[in-house]
Amino acid sequence: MSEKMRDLLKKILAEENSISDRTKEQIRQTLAGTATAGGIAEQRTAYWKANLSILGWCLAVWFIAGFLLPIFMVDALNTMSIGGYPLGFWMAQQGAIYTFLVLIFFYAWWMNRLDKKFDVHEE
Amino acid sequence: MDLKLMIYLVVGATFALYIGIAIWARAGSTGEFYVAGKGVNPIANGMATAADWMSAASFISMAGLIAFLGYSGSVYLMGWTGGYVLMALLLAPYLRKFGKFTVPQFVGDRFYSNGARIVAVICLLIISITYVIGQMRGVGIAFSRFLEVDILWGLIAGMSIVFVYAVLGGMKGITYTQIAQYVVLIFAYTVPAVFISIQLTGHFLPQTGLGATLSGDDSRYLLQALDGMMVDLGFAEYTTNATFSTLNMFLLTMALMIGTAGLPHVIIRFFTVPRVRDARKSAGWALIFIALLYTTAPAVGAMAMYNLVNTLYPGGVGNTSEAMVYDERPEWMRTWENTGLLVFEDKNDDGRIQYYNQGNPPAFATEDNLQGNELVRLDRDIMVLANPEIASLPNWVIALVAAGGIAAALSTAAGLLLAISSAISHDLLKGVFMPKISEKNELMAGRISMAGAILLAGYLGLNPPGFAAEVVALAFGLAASSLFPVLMMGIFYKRMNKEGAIAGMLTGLISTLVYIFLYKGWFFIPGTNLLADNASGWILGISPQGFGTIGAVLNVTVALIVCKLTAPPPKEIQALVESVRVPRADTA
Repeated sequence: MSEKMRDLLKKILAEENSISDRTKEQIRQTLAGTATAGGIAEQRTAYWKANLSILGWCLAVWFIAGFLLPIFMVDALNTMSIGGYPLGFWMAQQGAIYTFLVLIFFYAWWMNRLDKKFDVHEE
Repeated sequence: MDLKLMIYLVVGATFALYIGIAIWARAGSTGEFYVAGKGVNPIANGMATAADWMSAASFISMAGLIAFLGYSGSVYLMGWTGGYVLMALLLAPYLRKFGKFTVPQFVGDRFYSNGARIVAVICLLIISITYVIGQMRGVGIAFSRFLEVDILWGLIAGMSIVFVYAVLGGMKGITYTQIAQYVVLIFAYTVPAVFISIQLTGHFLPQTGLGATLSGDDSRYLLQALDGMMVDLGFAEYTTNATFSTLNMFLLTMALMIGTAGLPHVIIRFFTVPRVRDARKSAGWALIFIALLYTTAPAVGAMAMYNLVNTLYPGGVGNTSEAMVYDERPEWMRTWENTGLLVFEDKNDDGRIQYYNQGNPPAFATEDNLQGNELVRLDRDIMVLANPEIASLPNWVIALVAAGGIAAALSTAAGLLLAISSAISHDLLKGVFMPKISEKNELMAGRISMAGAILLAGYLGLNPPGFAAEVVALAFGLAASSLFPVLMMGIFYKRMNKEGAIAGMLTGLISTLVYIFLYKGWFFIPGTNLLADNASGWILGISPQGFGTIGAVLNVTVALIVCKLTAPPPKEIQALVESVRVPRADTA
């Protein structure tokens, strides 16, 4: 790394407030010569793992709301009711759709947080 | 005001609006033509996606299907909404990050193969063309019923409008027209539903009205009354499953969900938003706008059924001696009889119409010596289109429903036509056969293929190949079994290579086509089916409509096996997958 580059990075580290702590840490590592090529790759792997884990939970809810309750357990649920709706019937014709809606917005919100946490969010 | 004049006015006003938008939103570049310059606000895109998605089938047919299927109709409600979860979680953000124009382009780049791209184009064309036929038929029905013009002229009017805004504006023109069309169609759908809900239950919201007690009888719930009515006439209870086995409920719902997520004309809508996080959010907005209609539809279906049975039995359900007198039938029945979609036959010559389940005749059928069910044909589409007339709503509501039906069909047709024309001009021409084509010429090619697609769709709408009712199942089955699995594996399985992808797509496509043809006839030619299309003829009891789920599983299985036996994809492809998985890739 050239001396000029070093000065530039030091300047960024000292004066630039808009960059995240994670990026600052990477710059420090770069300056100290301890940065590895795997740094960013590891971070991305961690981000992807976190994504897969939340995806798993969301798809589980999707399956419960779209299949388990309204199809496989419908008869059991129909013994209960909300208003004039038998519960299983309500789940199939109303409840599942509401759950899908909440699920999509929850995932979008969660991922926006995750993007920021791993510093991969868009400008 | 005269009903016909009113309909001409309302439909004419919406057409003027669409053309105005078309002139305002002309496309100047291929980027604007294919993906509206990637500058569409996520909420606006959600609304356009909803109009794109909700077709003539959703608007005209779905509530009628639910009215006759009751609980079993839920497969359509859940299948056509749950797919958005898969789309939002598994495809939209990554395909938006990839940042190109078409679905086959992703397949071609990710699997470093023009062969894979061409197979994807073939899947896309089969799916989109079968789907567009249904839309054109919807346009024809709406015109011929409401404007009482010949289907030919109805189709020509519809095609000319689509021609103007789709050829001029491409995705940009289509997007902004779809937003207007969404507003028209959602008003057209919910206004009659609200009126009817208030009439029957006193509830303003149809969603709560369906679960409420009947006006004037606080001790009886609407659904309870409906269950009782259906049982009295020899049908199954409305709120319990009677049509599909649990296995087929599951398979059909799943096939519709993964099919929805794999429909190219819906996927490309998410290429039009500026950022990855907009793609995630936009799918949610799309589902909000879709849910407005989809949570209303069950109420529309159930209330239409309730009203219909009460109209047929003014003296009480099952009271055959006081059933509706044929000569005193309401006006809307007369107009629908002219279309042939509603047919009565007074089999016992008593001048009255007795409706019941002939296959499982209730006690009164033998006691009163009936000669069979006299409501010989009742097309399910009538349930929505005649809904305002059944409930004697004012003329402007009827005119609004006509405009809404046409808006639903046109908006979906436009989205499909764009998917078809971009696959031809961008994937086949620019991608494979003429890579050196200039942007200006590609834009021209896009417009020409759009015009060609419109003519083809119009022709098929006029001469439907006799399987219009089957095409929806076919389109979803194919999308589920061919495109969705390959897109998902392209994103989530880095090791997947071109051999696996091509083998998988072909397996899904062919197995699903063959399974459907086995029961519906080869290329839907009646009489050429090899197996009987009923529960006892189905292999392992799997219905052809639900086979898309099995096709998807076969696709993945074959792809994984072939992939293990062949060389892994090159380094740069693995890097491409890495970059698609991260919203901001410039950190690399």
